[in-house]
Amino acid sequence: MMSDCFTATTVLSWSELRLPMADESLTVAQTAPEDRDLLRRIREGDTDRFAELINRHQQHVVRIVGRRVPADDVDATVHDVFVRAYFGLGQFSGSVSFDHWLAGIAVRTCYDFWRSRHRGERPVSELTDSHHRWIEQALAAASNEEFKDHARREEAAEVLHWALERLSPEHRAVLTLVHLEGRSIREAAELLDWSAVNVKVRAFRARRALRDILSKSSRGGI
Amino acid sequence: MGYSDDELKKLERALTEAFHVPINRPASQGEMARRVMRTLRRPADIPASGLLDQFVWRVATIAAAVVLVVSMLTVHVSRTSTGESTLLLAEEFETTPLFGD
Repeated sequence: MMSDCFTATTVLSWSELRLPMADESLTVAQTAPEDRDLLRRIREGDTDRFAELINRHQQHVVRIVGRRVPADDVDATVHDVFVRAYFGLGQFSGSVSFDHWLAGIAVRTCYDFWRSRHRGERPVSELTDSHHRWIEQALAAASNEEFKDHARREEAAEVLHWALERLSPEHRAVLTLVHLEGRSIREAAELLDWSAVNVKVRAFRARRALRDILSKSSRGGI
Repeated sequence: MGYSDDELKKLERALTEAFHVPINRPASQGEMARRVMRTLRRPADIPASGLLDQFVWRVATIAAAVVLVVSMLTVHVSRTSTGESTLLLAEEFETTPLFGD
């Protein structure tokens, strides 16, 4: 379904590293005619057509949510995204693509997920010896291929999860959008429905917080 | 001992790469649509936590604004009445002859 979306390449601000952003289309200029037709029918009262919209965009939402919440919570969060989208359909003006609008709801739903979790729970996971070994190996990687091999290992995802878990929900949301996905400040602000200044300030602080966390993760501590 | 700046940059790059590793997640195509439509047909099942949060924040903001306006008005009114009494006092001093002439 999403295979016809273009692939954009974005310069990541912290590493001069260019990564293909194949997963989440950055923007698709206009709402597809099929979506427009379905939206019109839903607004006219044929609400069952919303199921077709869900089927068309489920993969897109799963890709966004799957990178942001634990695997066990993906289904429930995707469900919430579509429920919110249904009740927000009246606010969809069509000035951006339906995909893009849905992406904003998905990002904000994930942010709310971490906000509610942040209130009740403290991070419990700790780095193990295998994680420390992974960090040492990643730092010692001589070639780009070796480096990428390390990044594909399970420990890499676990260390990333460990670090993100220690950030505030706001920092986590901004860091994911701006630094990990390489989106622009303006785009992140649109998706989160925050001001650009707010996103800019938080992006700076979030990166600093992540670096602090990583620094403290070294075997010797601070 | 923490990491050097170069090491931190390298670690950040590794984590960015890790973030982009594709996730293979089998999506049950029709099932999600069925679940969502079932929820939409029974509004009582709709998770209200987000809506409740919004409602609480809105009410708190409005209450804070009302308190602010009321306190500003109170200050304004009390200052005005103090000003008036000072004025009256001043007039009284001016009109009352000091030595009874």
